[in-house]
Amino acid sequence: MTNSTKFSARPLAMAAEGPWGQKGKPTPKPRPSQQPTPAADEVPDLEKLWQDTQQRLLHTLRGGRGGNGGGNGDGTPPGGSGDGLFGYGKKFWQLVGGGVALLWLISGFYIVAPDEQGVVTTFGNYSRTAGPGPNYRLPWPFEQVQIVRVTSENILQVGFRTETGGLFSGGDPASVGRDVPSESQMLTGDENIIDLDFTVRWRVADPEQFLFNVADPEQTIRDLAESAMREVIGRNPIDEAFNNRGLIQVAAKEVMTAVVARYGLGIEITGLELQQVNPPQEVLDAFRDVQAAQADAEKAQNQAQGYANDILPRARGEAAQMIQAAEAYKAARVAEAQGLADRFASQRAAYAQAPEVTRRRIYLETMEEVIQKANVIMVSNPQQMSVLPYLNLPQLNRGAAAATATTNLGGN
Amino acid sequence: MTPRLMFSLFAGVAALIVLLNSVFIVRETNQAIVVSLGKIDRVIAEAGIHFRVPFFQQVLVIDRRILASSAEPEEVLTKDKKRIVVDSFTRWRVLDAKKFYEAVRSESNARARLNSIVDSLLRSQIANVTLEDLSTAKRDEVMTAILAQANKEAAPLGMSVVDVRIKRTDLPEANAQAVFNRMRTEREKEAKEIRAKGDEEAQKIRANADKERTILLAEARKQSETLRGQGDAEATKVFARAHSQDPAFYGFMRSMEAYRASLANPEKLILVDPSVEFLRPLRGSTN
Repeated sequence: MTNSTKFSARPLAMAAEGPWGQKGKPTPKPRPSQQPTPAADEVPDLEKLWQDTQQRLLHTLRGGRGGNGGGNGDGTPPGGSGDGLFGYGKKFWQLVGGGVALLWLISGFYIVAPDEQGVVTTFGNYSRTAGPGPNYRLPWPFEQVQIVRVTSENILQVGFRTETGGLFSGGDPASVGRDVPSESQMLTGDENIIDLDFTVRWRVADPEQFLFNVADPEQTIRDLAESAMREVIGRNPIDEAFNNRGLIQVAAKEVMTAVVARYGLGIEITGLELQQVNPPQEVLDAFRDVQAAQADAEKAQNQAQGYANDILPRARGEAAQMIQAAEAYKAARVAEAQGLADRFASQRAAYAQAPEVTRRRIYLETMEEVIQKANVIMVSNPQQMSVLPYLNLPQLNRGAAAATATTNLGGN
Repeated sequence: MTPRLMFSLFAGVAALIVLLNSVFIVRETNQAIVVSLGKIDRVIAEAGIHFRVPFFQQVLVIDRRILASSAEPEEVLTKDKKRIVVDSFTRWRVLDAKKFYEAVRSESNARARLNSIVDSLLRSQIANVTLEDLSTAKRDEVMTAILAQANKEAAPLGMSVVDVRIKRTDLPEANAQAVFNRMRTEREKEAKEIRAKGDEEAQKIRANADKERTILLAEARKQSETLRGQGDAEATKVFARAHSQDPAFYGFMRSMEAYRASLANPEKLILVDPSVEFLRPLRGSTN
């Protein structure tokens, strides 16, 4: 029902090893008496007690019997002496009693580590909270102390467990171990299923509340974490969970904090982090295909852009070439015309000096060239033209070279 | 050992037994009921050391903390006839130890009673809302109603319900498969659309590039034709200016040039009247 043994086992071990080194130091609340009293808050003066005991020990050893002083009654009774039990003197039994009482008193010491606080109960009733350092409580059965870690953070893993993961293990929250699908799969607001892991960091804020208000606080925190996350995810559509992790975290933490305060759990939620937010395994490939599709779409666009980048500069080059060619044509045409015009002007100037002769010369030269090269038949009488239809023109053509040669001879 | 010593030893042991039986400790986490011969004598709410009549009174310890209780996950039907598996947990505490002891006696009994209360409340309340409402707007409303009703029903049992929370609302396995199928098809649809849009975009880019190229080349052609025309015009102007100075000479020269170009060819057959100027000296010599 209670788990207080988890907390009280530690201080006993510490109290056994701790106080021997502190013999000379003043204890927090010195008291002159060496007798143990059941009153709370009061601590006997250890130093004085020790001195008293030493003196008594010396006295006893001097006056009483020697021999096996360490035995606790298993020695054989020698039978003669009347004033002691099992053959040991009164002084011996006083010594044994004193020693036991001393050990009992010393068992009240305990050390609270810097990250801890000790909650002291007197007969089960809460009496005080002790801070770090050496402390004293009345030994059993009067007072008990439960030590709680307050400054260190506890990490709660929901939806997964790292191999060493436990409630109080400070495992690296980023490393993801075994998946726990029953915790990690949940229903979103638009009736999709999502798979998410998260961690909750918490620390004890009020040890008294933490110990006394709620049974099994760790399980309560786990239940709360799960229900808070499911509530928040249930309010949001699936895309929100993928894209707005920060908001989900904040909302879930708020829900948890509110309920923790209502229960009086005595803890503080220091952080809530989503570790993995994934579609469930069953539909993962479809979700991955969406990402692949995005890449494909980009690829197609890039290829098209590449095509555009390829053809447009070429077209610009072609256009430039076309224009340059036209420019060249224009320039050439103008220059040629200019040249021809100049030539004509020069010819005309020369011709103007002797028009008749020049005209005749040019005419004759031209005719010479024409008749030299062409087939020429001289027809002196226009009436003879009527024979023309009967001439075998191709044949004439074949004999053209000879005819030309004849004409040439005649012409020259 | 003398009889006197024996007696005092016996008396001491007896006194110790009586003392231990009359003293009891109530821890901070607990409360206690003192029962005298089967009848409740008093309830102790304060932690600390307390006394009772030895042997006649018994002490029953009851937890004072907030306690956990959770039923098995249950399949329930929503208003829109959707089956969901609801896993809830309840946090409660013993408010009235006397009533609690009389009504349920033990914590395990109390849990069983509470679970059946919460279970039936969940069923009845969830049957009033659709799954969508349960996930979103009406969730708080439903939970508040369940909590209030649970408290009302638990009060006679001496219990106070601190909280009822839904830990999980999952779909049953068969429905989950249907949801997975829907999710898958939704994503497939999305993927197809993305790919098609990518192709659309790509085609637009290509078409645009083709258009630009065509325009670019046509513009260039236009410009080059204009340039050529300008060149031709310039040339014509130059020729005209030169030839207009002596059109007759130009006509003569151009004719000569044309004869040379067109007639001075062995393929051509020319029938010549010997009276043409070129042959006049020839005729004159024969005459």
